[in-house]
Formats: sequence, structure tokens, C-alpha cells
Amino acid sequence: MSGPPARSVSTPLLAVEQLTKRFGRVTALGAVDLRVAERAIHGVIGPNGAGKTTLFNVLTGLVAPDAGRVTLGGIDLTRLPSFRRTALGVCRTFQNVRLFGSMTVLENVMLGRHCRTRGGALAPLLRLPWRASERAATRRDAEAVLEFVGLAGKAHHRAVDLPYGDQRRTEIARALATEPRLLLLDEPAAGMNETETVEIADLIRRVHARDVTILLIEHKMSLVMGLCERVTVLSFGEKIAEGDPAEIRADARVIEAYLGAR
Amino acid sequence: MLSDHVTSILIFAGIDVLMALSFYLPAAAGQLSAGQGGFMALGAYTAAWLSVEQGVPFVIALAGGGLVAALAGLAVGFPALRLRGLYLILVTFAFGEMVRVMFLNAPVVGAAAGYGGIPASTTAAHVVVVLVLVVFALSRIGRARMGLAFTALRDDETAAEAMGVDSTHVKLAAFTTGGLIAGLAGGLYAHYTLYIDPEAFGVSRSLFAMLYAVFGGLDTLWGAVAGAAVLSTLPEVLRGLKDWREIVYGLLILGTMLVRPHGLLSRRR
Ligand SMILES: Nc1ncnc2c1ncn2[C@@H]1O[C@H](COP(=O)(O)OP(=O)(O)OP(=O)(O)O)[C@@H](O)[C@H]1O
Ligand SMILES: [Mg+2]
Repeated sequence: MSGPPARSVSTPLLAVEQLTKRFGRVTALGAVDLRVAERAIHGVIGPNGAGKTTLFNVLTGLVAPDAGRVTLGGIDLTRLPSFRRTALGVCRTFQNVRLFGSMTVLENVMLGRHCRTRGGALAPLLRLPWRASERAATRRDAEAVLEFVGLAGKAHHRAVDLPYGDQRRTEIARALATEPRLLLLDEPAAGMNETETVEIADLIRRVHARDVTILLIEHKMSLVMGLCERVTVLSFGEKIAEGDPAEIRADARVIEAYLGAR
Repeated sequence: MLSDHVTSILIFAGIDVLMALSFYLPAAAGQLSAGQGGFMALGAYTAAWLSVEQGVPFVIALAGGGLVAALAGLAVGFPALRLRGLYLILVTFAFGEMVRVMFLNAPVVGAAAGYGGIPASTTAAHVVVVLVLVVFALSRIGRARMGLAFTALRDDETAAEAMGVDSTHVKLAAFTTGGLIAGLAGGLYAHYTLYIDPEAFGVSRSLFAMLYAVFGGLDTLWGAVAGAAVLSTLPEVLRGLKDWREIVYGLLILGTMLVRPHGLLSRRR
């Protein structure tokens, strides 16, 4: 055997079929189909209220869909609880940052190691030899991730005391600590100035270079068009377009959806 | 040696510290309970019954009481999976009352008349040993993987789940361990007072466990330890004030909470 198996070319990492979610009379997702190729950076754009965050919520199991199916590398995730999906390799950041408020930056990231480590409540009491160094290893892993995202110097600050941009980085670090195959980023550059946005783009590229597939929601078109090889456009819960950045920029329905929303 | 009076103050303080820890444990995972007295009752009655009726050694009676209370903790944990905040407080409160009324109507253990003839086994040394073991175990767990998961659940349950924490598992573990600690406190209590009745484990027991932990600060288990130690011995210190004692006690709590709103030992301001 040499090279990647042939099926990885045709089989997407993430497959979403006919995904539907209604909130009362609002259709947040109306039978959305989506395929994200392995090792892609795939963009999701659309006007406010288009259903982008709802898509992430359904993918991560925080919201149950009314219909449809979600598979990751052929494994059906649709009915799995959130924490199992994380263990299988799906992790996310939140549009409105949700860091653990009483923890330091380092602790937030260490918590991300939870699903990659073992040891229940009794383990630290029994001092089992193969568990003895687990906390030290968790800490080292978390520190390495912080180094990677450029927050090594702020490990011991309380996460929620950091400037906004650093909080978003901490969220990315926490998600990376879970060793995701698929990373869902919900507006990682929201509220950032131009320099910070460029830095985040660079970070996303470096994450991608580590073979993490990325699904990226973002309103900043420069970021989406610069990073993504493929972009899906949602509007009022419907997928209205999909293609490479050039195709999306030229798509009449996309232009209309954005102009109509203003 | 310590006088009997001082010994008795220390034993009751130690039991109060255990009760504060039994409240702290689920609270550390964001689960507020107003029914820890119910677990204490189960531990006290089980341990007393094992001693009086079965004649088992004290350690076995204590362990039996802890075990029954832990199982009750597990059982209460299940409805708690779907309830938050005030609703959880309401349900745990109802659990505590249910246990109290159950013992009020249980002739095997004396019903409303109370249950006596319990051997005088508890000494200050027993209380200290149980306390040290519990604090040691909790501080080790607190610094390990499960400790972070508890805090994560308290800070943001949704984010914790999304980061891979099985919240069901953590909540059940929190309630079970909280029940166990209250059960041990109950067993120690029964074998010191030698006579128990359901009123000893009612609402006020549950609320004081909560008060101690909150007063000390919910950031760390040391808050519960300090809060219970201070508030449980304070009435003795204030004994000289006679009628004014309760008022001064209340004012001291109020004053402390004004200066340190997140509790005595909290790092937060
Ligand atoms: N939990 C909820 N309950 C009720 N309605 C909801 C809920 N979550 C989302 N919605 C509605 O579903 C629709 C899609 O919302 P969603 O947050 O997915 O949009 P979005 O594309 O992420 O928008 P934005 O760009 O503003 O973040 C909106 O009309 C929103 O009001
Ligand atoms: Mg959104």
C-alpha cells in the first residue's frame, strides 16, 4: 500500500443529509445537504439568522434536528450525545465565547484533554502507576497547544479576564486539545481588528496544516475567500449556493441574499 | 486531655464540616442541594440500626450508613439530570422532607419517638480520621481530571458537554459522593448522641450545610471546611452574650458576607 486509500478522495469526512431544524415557525435549517472533504477548509456564509450557528449546534449535538442525518467518516452521529461526538473527533468554538469562567487559560485547555485521558474519581486515590503521571502529561499537552496558538505567556491568567481576541484563541486552543478531526469555527474573527484577523487566518492555516479539517463560519469575506477552497451559502435555512470562492462571488442568488438582507 | 465540653464541641464541629463538604461536592459541579440532611438521616439510621439490631462492629455500621446514603445520592442524581437551579433545590428539598417523614413513620426505628440505645462508639479521633480521609480524597480528586470536569460543569454545562465531558456521569458521581459523606456524618452523629430522631435531620440541617459551605466560599473545599468550622464553633465563643447571641451571630455572618461576598476563602471579590 502506498499513498492514501482511494476512498478518501471520494468519501467526505462530514456528510450532512436533509438536515432540518425548526424553532416554532422559523425554519433554521431546511433540508440542508452538505459534504465536507477530508482536510478541506470549508466556509459557511450567509446573512444574519441564516442558520449557520444552528448548523453547528446540530452537528455538535447541542440541538436535536427534526430530520436528517449527520455522519463523520461513515459513523452516524445523529443520535449521539455531544460528548461522544467530541470523542469521535468533532469539536467547536462558540460565536459568543463560552470559556469556563473560574478557570485559568491553562485549565480551560486542560479540560479539553478530558476525552483523551482516563481516570475517574477513584484513580487519583488508588495511585495506579500508569495514572501517576497523567496530570503532568495533560498539563504538558495543554501547554504545547497554548504555545501553538501563541498564548504560552498567558497560561495562568483567568481566561475571561483576557482581551477578546485572546479569549477566541483560548477557545481554539481548548478545542484543539480534544484532537479534533473536524474543527468547527463560529466567527473566529468577530470583533477583531485587521491585524488580529490576519493573525487568526494564519492560525487557521497552521491548524489546517496539522491535517485538521475545518468548517468555518465567518462574516468577514476577506477571511473566507482567502482561506476556503469551498464555500456553502445559507439563507433563511436553505442552501442557496456552493462552490469555490470565485463562483460564490459571481453567484446572482448570493448577491441578492446579501443585498436583500441589508 | 480536652474537657468533655470541648470534645463535644469539636465532634459536632467535625460533623458539621462533613455536612458542609457533602453540600460542597455536588455544588462544585453546579448542583445545588437543599436535602443533604436526608442523606445524613439515612446514614444515621442505617448505622444505628446495624449497631443496635445487628451488633456489627462500629466501622461496619459507619460504612453501611455511608453506602446507603451514597446509593440514595445516586438515586437523587437521576432526576437531578434534568433539573437546574431553583427546580433542583426544590426537588432535593422534597427528598429531604420525604426521608424525614419516612423515619417519622418507621416503627422499626422508633418512629416519632426516636431511636435510642445506640452504642457510644464515636470519639473525637474517629471524627478526625474520617474528616482527614474525606478531605484528603477530595483534594486529590479536585486537582485531577474529574476535578476540572466538575468545575467545567458548574461554569458552563453546555460548553463542558461540547468539550467532551459526560455531564450525566459527573453529576451522578457528585451526588453519590455527596450522599456518602453525609451518610458518614450521620453514622458518627448517631454513635455520639446515642439517640436520634427525624427532626435532627430536617430542613435546618440541610440549610445549615448549605450556609456553612457558602459562607466559607464555594471555590475550594477548604471554604466548606473553614465555613463550617467557624460557624459551628461561633455560638460557643459567643455564649457569654446570652440573649444577644443569636443576633450577634447573624450580624457576624452578614458583615462577613458584605466584606467577602463570595465567602471567607474565595479568591473573588
Ligand atoms: N434556540 C433557539 N430558539 C429559537 N430560535 C432560534 C434558536 N436558535 C436559533 N434560532 C433562530 O433560528 C434562526 C437561525 O439562527 P442562527 O443563530 O443559526 O443564525 P446565524 O446564521 O448563526 O446568524 P448570525 O450570523 O447572526 O450568527 C434565527 O431566526 C434564530 O432566531
Ligand atoms: Mg451565528
